[in-house]
Amino acid sequence: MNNKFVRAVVALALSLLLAVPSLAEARYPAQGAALTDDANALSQTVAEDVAAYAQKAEDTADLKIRVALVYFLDGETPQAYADKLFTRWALDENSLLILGAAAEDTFAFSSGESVRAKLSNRALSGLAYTSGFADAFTAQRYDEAFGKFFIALNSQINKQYGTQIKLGGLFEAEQSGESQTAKTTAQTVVDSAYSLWTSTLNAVTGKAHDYEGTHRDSGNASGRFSGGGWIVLAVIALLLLGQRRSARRGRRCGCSPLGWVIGGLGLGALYRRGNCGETCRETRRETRREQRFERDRRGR
Amino acid sequence: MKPKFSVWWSLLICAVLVVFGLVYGNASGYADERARVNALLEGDGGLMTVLNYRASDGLNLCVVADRHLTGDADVETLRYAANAELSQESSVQAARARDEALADAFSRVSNKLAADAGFSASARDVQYRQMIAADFEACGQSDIFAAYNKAAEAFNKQLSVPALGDAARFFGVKPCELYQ
Repeated sequence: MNNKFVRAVVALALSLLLAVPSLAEARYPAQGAALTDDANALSQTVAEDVAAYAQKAEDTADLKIRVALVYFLDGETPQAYADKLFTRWALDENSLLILGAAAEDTFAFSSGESVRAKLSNRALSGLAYTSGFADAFTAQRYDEAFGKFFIALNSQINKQYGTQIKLGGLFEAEQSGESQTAKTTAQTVVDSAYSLWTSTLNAVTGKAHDYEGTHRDSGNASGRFSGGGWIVLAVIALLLLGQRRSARRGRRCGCSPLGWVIGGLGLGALYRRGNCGETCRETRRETRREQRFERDRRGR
Repeated sequence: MKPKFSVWWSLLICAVLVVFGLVYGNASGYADERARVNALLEGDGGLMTVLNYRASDGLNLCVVADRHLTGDADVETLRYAANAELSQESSVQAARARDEALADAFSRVSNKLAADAGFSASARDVQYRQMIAADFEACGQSDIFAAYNKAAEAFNKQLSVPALGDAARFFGVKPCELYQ
């Protein structure tokens, strides 16, 4: 019993140690239309077919299909990356995200609640393998992979959503089986620079330049009074000192602005000058009345 | 029972509060400026973010290396260094030391891949390696490093101004650590 408990504790501690939490965020592509192909994996024809099919699915079954193709996942697992991208793109419960990482030969699906009720992640993964998508994708035959997957997905959508979406001329090569002949040709055109990384780094550079620009404009004035601050201070000083001289002519002390400052700082309650309000005034009136009465009495 | 103070006591308290306000306002100005400098370090798209991108590049290189250098110790070292960079929050100097370790491991794996015959035969992976190495290099030469150091130096200079800087330090404003 004790041994089991110790083993469980050790296993838990080890799993906590090994599960290094990632504090950093991976680089995610900006949301495009139905297809965001940052890896330039798909041909123009297939890219247009994917967009057209996504439109059909949205119009007919209210299912928003989004496809994202990147090169790398920056150390994330495909599922974690897909789920985070789904959230980042603010996709709703009727959305289905198909993610492919071309350089890692991996893919994943992430979907909203309504979609999961009809097309579970497990069902979609099964579809990826049975349709031949997985094999073609890992062999870098991306057009073939997506053609096959969308044909299989269409059947599944029609079955689960009770729709009759017709593919028509979409994914023609796969529908006619033409791709079987060119099966061995891998689409491995790798860009010399990855636009996603370049744009992310440009954003960082922009931030550095923005800071330098802002800092130059503000005249390096932090921690000290700005020009406006000095003007306000001068106005207050003039108000205090200037008022004092003119007020003296009227036989007043000229310290009323000081009273404003004191009042503004909440010290009004402390500033009494022997005045204790209505009660004191009443007491003084009473005293004067008594003195007057006493004088009158003596006079009589 | 209400407290009663003479006019002079009130004026003295008022003066103390005004002086405190000025000193505190000065310290708060310094703190705001420090927060702006810190945003260049830890904020979104700051220096630490760039270091994380380099770590991500390290992990991406591991993906390519795993296809050719199975069970290689240098690949594991690179993976460890990259994960350490991504998962730890610490001082600027510690981050710099980790980045140097990452750069060493990256370079070793990259060179090992270049010498591998199987790797050289894969045009795709050769291109991926070039792409990753170019980004790793570009991140290392980002303007953010100079911008942060310049901002941190300027801030530290401001903080060393007698009286004003001393007051700010009294209120807990600390100098910025340089990435050098």
